[in-house]
Amino acid sequence: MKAFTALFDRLSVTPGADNQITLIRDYLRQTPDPERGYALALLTGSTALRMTRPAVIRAMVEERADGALLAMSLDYVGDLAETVSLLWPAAKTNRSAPSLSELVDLLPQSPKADIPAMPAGWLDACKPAERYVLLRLLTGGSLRAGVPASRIKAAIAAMSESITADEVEEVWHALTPPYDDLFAWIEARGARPDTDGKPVFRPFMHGTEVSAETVENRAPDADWLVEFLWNGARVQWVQAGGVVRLFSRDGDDLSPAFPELTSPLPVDVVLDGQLMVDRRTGTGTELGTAEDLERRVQRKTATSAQLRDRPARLKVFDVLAVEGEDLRGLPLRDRRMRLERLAREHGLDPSPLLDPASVVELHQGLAAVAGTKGLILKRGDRPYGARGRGLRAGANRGDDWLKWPRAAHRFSAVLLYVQRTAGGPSAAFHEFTLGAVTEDTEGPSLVPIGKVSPTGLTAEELAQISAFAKENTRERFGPVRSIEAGIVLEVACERIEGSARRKSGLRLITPRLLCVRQDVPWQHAHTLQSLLNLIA
Amino acid sequence: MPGDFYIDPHRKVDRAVITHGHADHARAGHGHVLTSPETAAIMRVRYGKNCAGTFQNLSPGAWVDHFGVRVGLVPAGHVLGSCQIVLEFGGWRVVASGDYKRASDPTSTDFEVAPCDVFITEATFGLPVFVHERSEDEIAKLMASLQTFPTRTHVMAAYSLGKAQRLIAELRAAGYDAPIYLHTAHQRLCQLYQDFGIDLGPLLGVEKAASTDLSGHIVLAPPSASREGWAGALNEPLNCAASGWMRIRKRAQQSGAELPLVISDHADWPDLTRTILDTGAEEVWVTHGREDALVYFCQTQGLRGRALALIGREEEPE
Repeated sequence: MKAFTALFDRLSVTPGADNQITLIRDYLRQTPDPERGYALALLTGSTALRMTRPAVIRAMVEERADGALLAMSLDYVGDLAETVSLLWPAAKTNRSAPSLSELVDLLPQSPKADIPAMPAGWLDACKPAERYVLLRLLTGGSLRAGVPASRIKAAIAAMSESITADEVEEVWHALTPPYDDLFAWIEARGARPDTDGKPVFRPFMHGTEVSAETVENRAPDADWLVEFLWNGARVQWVQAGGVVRLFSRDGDDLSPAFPELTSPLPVDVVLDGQLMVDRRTGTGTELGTAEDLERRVQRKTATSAQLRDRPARLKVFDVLAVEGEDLRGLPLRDRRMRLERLAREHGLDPSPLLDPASVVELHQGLAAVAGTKGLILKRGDRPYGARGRGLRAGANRGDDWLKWPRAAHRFSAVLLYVQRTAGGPSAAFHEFTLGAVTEDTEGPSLVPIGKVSPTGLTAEELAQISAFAKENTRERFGPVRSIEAGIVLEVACERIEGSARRKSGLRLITPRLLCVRQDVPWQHAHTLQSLLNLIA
Repeated sequence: MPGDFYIDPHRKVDRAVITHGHADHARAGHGHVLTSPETAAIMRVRYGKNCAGTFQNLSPGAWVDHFGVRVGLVPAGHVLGSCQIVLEFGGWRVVASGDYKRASDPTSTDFEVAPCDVFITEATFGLPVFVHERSEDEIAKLMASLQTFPTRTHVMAAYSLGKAQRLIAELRAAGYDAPIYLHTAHQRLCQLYQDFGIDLGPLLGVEKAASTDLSGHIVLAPPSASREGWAGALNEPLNCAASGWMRIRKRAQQSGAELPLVISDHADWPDLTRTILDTGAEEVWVTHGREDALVYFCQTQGLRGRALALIGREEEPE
C-alpha cells in the first residue's frame, strides 16, 4: 500500500509519457507478486474494489471528529475522501496499512456484517496519503492516475529487454489479476501466456496524415485501395470462443458500454473499424456528434435511453483474424476479399471501396457525404503492420496508409487563457484557450470556444505571446492565466459541431493553430455567430 | 499599546520588536529595532547596514525593561534567529508567537513553550487537514527521485531564508553529500547561516555551472525563478516544491511541481492546538492565517479565543 500510494501520488503530478513509464517500470521491478499485479489492475481500471459508500465513510469520520471542524475542512478541501484522509485522528495501532493483496483477498470473503468494522482499523493503520488511496478503493473511485492503459503496457514492456509494448498489448486481455504469468514471461521465467481462443486486443495499424501533394505523388504503379475516413472512434471488434469484446484505440475494453454491438457471429473474427453513434429523434435519424459518441464511451454501461436515442453501429474496413487464423500477414487486397465475404454472409457494414482514379473529385465532394472527414489510401499489397511490431517486412508506419483529411475551416480567434508547461522555458506553453467575439449592449466581448495546443506557431510567435501574456495578465489560476484581449490567432479545424453543454454552443473538432494575425484587431476576429453558422 | 513599541510592524515606526527576518515581518526603516542577534544580522544582509536607526540585540533568556514593560525572547523554531516575544506588564504575561514550528530543524533553535496569560498565535495552517509529514520521509522522496531520474536536474523552489537552508541541512543529514547548486538569491543567506556555524556542506553558484554539470543535481531557487533563462537551459528539469500547502492535492497540482513535498516552517494543526494548551493561556488571539477553526477550537477548550483582526474594531468605541 505504501509503495503503491507513493506511485499513485507521483503519477498524478508527473507530466510526460516517458517519466510516467519510468515510475511505473521501477515500481513493478521493486514490488513482489502478487502486490504489483493488483496495482496493475487498479492502474488499468481492470479491478475495482468497492465495499462501501461515501456516506458510510462520512458517518465514520463524524463519530471521530468534531462536526464544525469537519465542515470547515470539507469546505476548504472540497473532496470528501481527501478531507477524511487528512482529518482522521491518528490512533495507536500495532497493525500496518493493509497491502493491496490483503484487501483483494479479504473483501469478497468477509461476511457482510463484518465489513463496516473493517475500514476503521485499516484507516487507523494508514498515513494520510495511504488513507486517501484506501478510501478511494473502498468507495469504488478510480485509481488510474490519469495514465492511459497503453502507457502502462509500455512500462511493463520496459521491464524487459526483448518484449515490446505491442506484444504485451496482444496478451493483455487474456490475463487476469494478479498477472503472475505476465511477469513470469516478462522476467524470462516463463512462457508467453497462451492467448489461443481468448478475445485479445491487437495493436492497430495507423496511417499518416498527408497533403494533396503527397497523394498526387504516391507510387503510381501500386495497387491503392481508397476509402472514406469516417467520423467516430476507431475500434477493434474481437470475437474468440464466442465471446465478444470491443476495444478502444487505446486497448480499453468498451464492451459493457455498447451492448448492441456485442452479439456474437457464427464465426470467431477480429475486425478493424469505426464506431459511430446515430442520433434518433422524433423526426428521423441522423449522424450523432462527437459529443454524443463521447458520452456513450465515457459511461461504464449504457442507459436504456442511450440505447434508444443514440444507438451505435460499426463501419468495418479490415479483418485481422478468422476462426483463430491470423490474417495480418496477408496483403490488404486478400484481407479485403475475406472481409467482403464475411460482410455478405453476416450482414456487416463494410466501408465501401472508392475509385482510385478519381481521388481528387472524391475529395472535393466530401462535404456531401455525411459522416466523412477525409479519404484514406491504402496499399493493397501490404500486410497489416502495427507500429513497432517489426515482425513483418515492409510494414512501417507512413508508407502504407495515407490519410488525406478534408479541407479545414479557417477562422480567426482571440487568445483568452494560456497555460504554461511546468518547468519549461518562458515561451513554453501547454495549452491555449480561444475565444470568439460576441456583441452585446456593452460592446464586443469574448466567449471561450475551445482549447488548442500551441504547436504550429513559430518560436518568434510564441515569444511574442509570452511577452504579451506577461504584461497583460488579468488573473492567475495556478499554471493558467487569463490575459487581456490582444492576440489574434488564425485557426484551422476539421469541423464545428453544435454542443448543448458549452456556453458557446459549439465544439471545435481537431483545431490547430496556423499563425498569429498581426493585421486583425481582436474586435474584428470571427464572431461566435459566424462560427455557429459553420456547424455541419 | 503599553511600552510604546510595535511587534513586526508593517509601516515604519520609532520602536520595533522583530520576531524573525522574513520580509512580511522584518521591514527596513524603523528607528530602533530590538531583536535576536541572528535576526539583526539577517536584516542587515537583506536590507543593508543602515536598514534601521539602531539595533539592540537581545538573546533568549535575557530581558529588557521598556517603559514599564519587561520584554524577553523565546526561541520559535521557525528560521534562524526566530523568537516569540514575551511581554510582562501589570501582572500579565503576553506571548506573541510570531511564526513558529515545533518540528525539528537542524538550522533553527528548537521552539520552547512560553507559559502566559494571553497567547497571540499564528494560524497559517489553522485547519485540521494540515498535518505535516516528517521531513525525513519527505527528503527520502527527493533522494528516491534522484535515483529514479538520475539525469534530470531537480529544481527545488524554496524561500531564500529558512526553507532553503533547512532543506540543505536535511539533505546532508540524509547522507546527500554532492554539491548543491544555489540561485544567486540564496547565496548570501546560506553564507550567513554558515557564519553562524550551521554546516551546509559544499554549495556552488548556479550561474557558474554549465547545464551539463547540473544534470542529476539539486538546484535551489526562489519560487519565482524557475522561469528564468538558466532554468530553460536545463535538460528536463524536474520541479520540486516544499511547503505545507502541498498537503492539499489541488494546491500541489496547481503548483506545477512534479515532486511536491509537505515540508513547512510553520506549525501544523496538531502542533498549533497542542501549543495553545501547553502555554496555559486563558485568552488566545489568533492572527496570520485561518482564524475560524482555531478560535472555535479555543472555545471547545473553554478558552477565550478571538481573531486579532476583530479586536481593533471592538475596542474602537472605547
